[in-house]
Amino acid sequence: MSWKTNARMVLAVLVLAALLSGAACSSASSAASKPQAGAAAPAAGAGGALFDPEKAKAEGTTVGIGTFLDSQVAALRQGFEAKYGVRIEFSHPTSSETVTRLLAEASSGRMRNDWVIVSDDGMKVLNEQGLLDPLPQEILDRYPEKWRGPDGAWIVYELYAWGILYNNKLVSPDAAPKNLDDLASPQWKGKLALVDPRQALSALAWAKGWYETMGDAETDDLLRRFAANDPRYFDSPSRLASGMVQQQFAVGTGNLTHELSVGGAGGDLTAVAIQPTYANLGAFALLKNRPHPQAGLALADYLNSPEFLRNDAALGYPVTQTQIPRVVKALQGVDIVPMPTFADQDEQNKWREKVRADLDR
Amino acid sequence: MSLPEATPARAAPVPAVGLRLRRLSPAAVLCALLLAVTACLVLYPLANLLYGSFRVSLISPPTALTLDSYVRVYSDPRTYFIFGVTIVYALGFTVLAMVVALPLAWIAARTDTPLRKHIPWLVLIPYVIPASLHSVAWLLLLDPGSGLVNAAYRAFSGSDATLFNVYSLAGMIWVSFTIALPPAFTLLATGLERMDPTLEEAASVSGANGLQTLRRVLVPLILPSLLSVFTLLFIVGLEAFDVPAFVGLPANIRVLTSEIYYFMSQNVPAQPGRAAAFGFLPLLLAVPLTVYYVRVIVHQERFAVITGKAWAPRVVHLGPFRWVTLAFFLVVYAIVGVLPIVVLVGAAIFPDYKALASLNLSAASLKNFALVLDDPVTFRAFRNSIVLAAGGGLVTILLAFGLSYVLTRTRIKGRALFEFLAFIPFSLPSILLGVGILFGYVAFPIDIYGTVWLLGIAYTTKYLPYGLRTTSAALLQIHRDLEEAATVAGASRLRAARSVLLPLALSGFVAGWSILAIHNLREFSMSILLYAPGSEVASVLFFSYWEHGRIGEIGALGVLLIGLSLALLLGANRLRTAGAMRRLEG
Repeated sequence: MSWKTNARMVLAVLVLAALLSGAACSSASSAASKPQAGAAAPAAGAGGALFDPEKAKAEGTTVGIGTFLDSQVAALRQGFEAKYGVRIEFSHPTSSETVTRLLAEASSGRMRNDWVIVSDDGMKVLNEQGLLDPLPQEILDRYPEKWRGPDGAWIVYELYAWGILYNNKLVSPDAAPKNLDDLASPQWKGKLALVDPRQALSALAWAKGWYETMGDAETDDLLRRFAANDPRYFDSPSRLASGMVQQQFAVGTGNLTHELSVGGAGGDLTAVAIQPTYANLGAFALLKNRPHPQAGLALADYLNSPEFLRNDAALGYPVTQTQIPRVVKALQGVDIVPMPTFADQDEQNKWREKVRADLDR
Repeated sequence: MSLPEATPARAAPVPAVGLRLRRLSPAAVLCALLLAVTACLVLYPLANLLYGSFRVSLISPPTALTLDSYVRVYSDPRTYFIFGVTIVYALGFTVLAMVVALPLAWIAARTDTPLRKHIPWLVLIPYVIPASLHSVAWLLLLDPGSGLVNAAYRAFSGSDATLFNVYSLAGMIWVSFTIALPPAFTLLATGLERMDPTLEEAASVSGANGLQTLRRVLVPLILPSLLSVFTLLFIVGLEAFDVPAFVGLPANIRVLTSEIYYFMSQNVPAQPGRAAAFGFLPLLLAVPLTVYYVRVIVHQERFAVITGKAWAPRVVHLGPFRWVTLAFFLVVYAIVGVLPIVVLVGAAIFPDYKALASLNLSAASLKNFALVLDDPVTFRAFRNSIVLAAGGGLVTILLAFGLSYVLTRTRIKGRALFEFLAFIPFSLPSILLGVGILFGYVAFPIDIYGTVWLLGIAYTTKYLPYGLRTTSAALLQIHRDLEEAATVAGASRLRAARSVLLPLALSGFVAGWSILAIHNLREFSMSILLYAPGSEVASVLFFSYWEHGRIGEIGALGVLLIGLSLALLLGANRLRTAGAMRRLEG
């Protein structure tokens, strides 16, 4: 076949694709303008209770999406399924994938999930797009005002405090790094792991916090010293923690709760809090037009109950209901502050380029 | 006297195959339907991808379109650096695979090396291991800190040094080479077996020595096969994601697919526009290579039809050197095939990584298998993988068979366009195709989003070219006289296809189905974007287990999956052999 024929074929395909694109565009437009079909605001249960347990049980399943770890899902299932006879289905993509999927589902007019667990950055995007169903006041009242989203759209129920982790079988407590400056020491060359701020939004927010606290010059120098140590990079703190348990490296940055939730009680990981101790905010929200209205409410009630949150705290997560103590020793008595956030994607990209200038070698 | 130059016999143009389809006959309607389904399967996600690449963002109004994503991506020098790394990576493992596969293929197809008859099926064993599992196995072996090979080296040498750091471009190339070697070997061995030995005999009779025969006869004959295998592996390398995700990202080595994943998975909200703009870049190389690949394959197959008389390949007697070739095969196979499987079995039977690293045999148990089989999510993922492999593969091969019939047996105008269309997904990165499918089917009138059906559609779209390849090859080798005899005797076109063509093409049909089943089992890049609770598959579970450090469960699930894949292959082979026996007896 001649090149002319091949070129005609390519052109024909492009024309067909453009026509279908137009069809896809108009389909998306009509989906966006379609009034959101689905369940009306669920009626409360009998006697003004938060939800109707019988209706919840009849629904049979509640579906969630977000950034829970397997250990947290297991703890949730153990308590909730036995108590209410409702099965939990959960998928845990990244924060970005969670938001993408929910936006895609909402645009189709068919929400497949009842509730979402994601950082506050993600919640803001979902709330701006009208996907979140305000939580009942009874649940909101369990938390201090500062942990509630605007108009009760979400609540922050746990914190992901960031700092230094080390494998206590490979490094003694005396030799372990005490701060970021120690961590950047050349003695850790080839033994260091970092959650990569170029890949992970949480790590980027943390790096932004360093710039705000230490200033540009000192932070740039810190990042260059990290890069000089040939670190292993991860886009996920839990994967970093798992690798540390397997002794792939000795020290690193990450989520301090993984001392327990990944390393296990009395395990191989030790957390070191640094000042200031920044944290991502782990937020929970109900979704509008959810397929299982009552089961979703039941889950919201249970997840935000002291019963579940004590189990969650036992896994290492500092929870924001103040009557429940922190279990990770490094976090006891430490003042945890929320990580800086980003106004929009352009700001995210700007900070990414800034850290890339120091980390890329 | 000069030696006759060996050139592939110019294939006489294949006569316009088949009869004209009468308008509105059932056959014509079916053909039109097949073409329409193929066009929709390919163009619908492509169109959504194209549209998404012009959107301002995921949350902007649907009609707010811009070229901004393209401008940002193509004006950034980093894009071209990443493209360069991608080409080096793809070229690196492709060349390495060819360099090793060609002598292995020659050993298996054309020498009297002991055990050579077993080499083809032995090589299939590592082929069924998903790329993500291969990656995990090599990480367990070559991690600079805790990898078994590096730990053994330090124990024996007494030094602190690392023998090989897998988290490097060289490590990525190595792991991808071990994945690419089996298919490269299989395709080259097939090519060597098909070569007509009379040309070599003619050269030998004319006085040519071995080297002259190699240079002037064998190389020109094998060149189309070499080029087509090279092209196939290179295209696969451009769009590979598993190895770059597991091995490259921890070393901050980015290729095009890892950038696509980054834009979709690490930005809140995702940036599908920039992901698509990035993803279209390798098409500049992949599309012309795909067109070339398709043309070379079709040319090869028509050549096989023209000279399709039966023969036995010419075997070279190596004498005592055959033990050297056997040793070569055994060493390569031990490293590439056996070692990853052994470490996965080890991960499966030891309770944790520490016991595996210390080879504490007293701690070995089947506990990890029990954990895997008791977990309802794991069991469901396993079941979904089996259904998608067997059932999804069957649907794809049926579609491929129908399409091949249209392409090879009819004179429908524009049918070449549909062949080209069907091959487009072949050159598109799977992860990008996954993005297109996600956005295309989330609002589909039939609610299949988040179900196994969606994964099935994704797999069919992506792997249709593989099925098309085998069914077209099978149909091209069947002379049309047999079909015409049936129609002359009164059978309809559909009846002739069902009763004459299908039984004769059964061997190719079953081979194609088993290839598709293996690809469906291995698929990861689209699955990670499209799965939901209830539609998990094994490859996604590997990623999740790796994320949580559940090495034992990776090993156990991996061993079960490898066993299942081998069972599928053996069953397919039995079916194919039984079909051939029945034809001989019947």
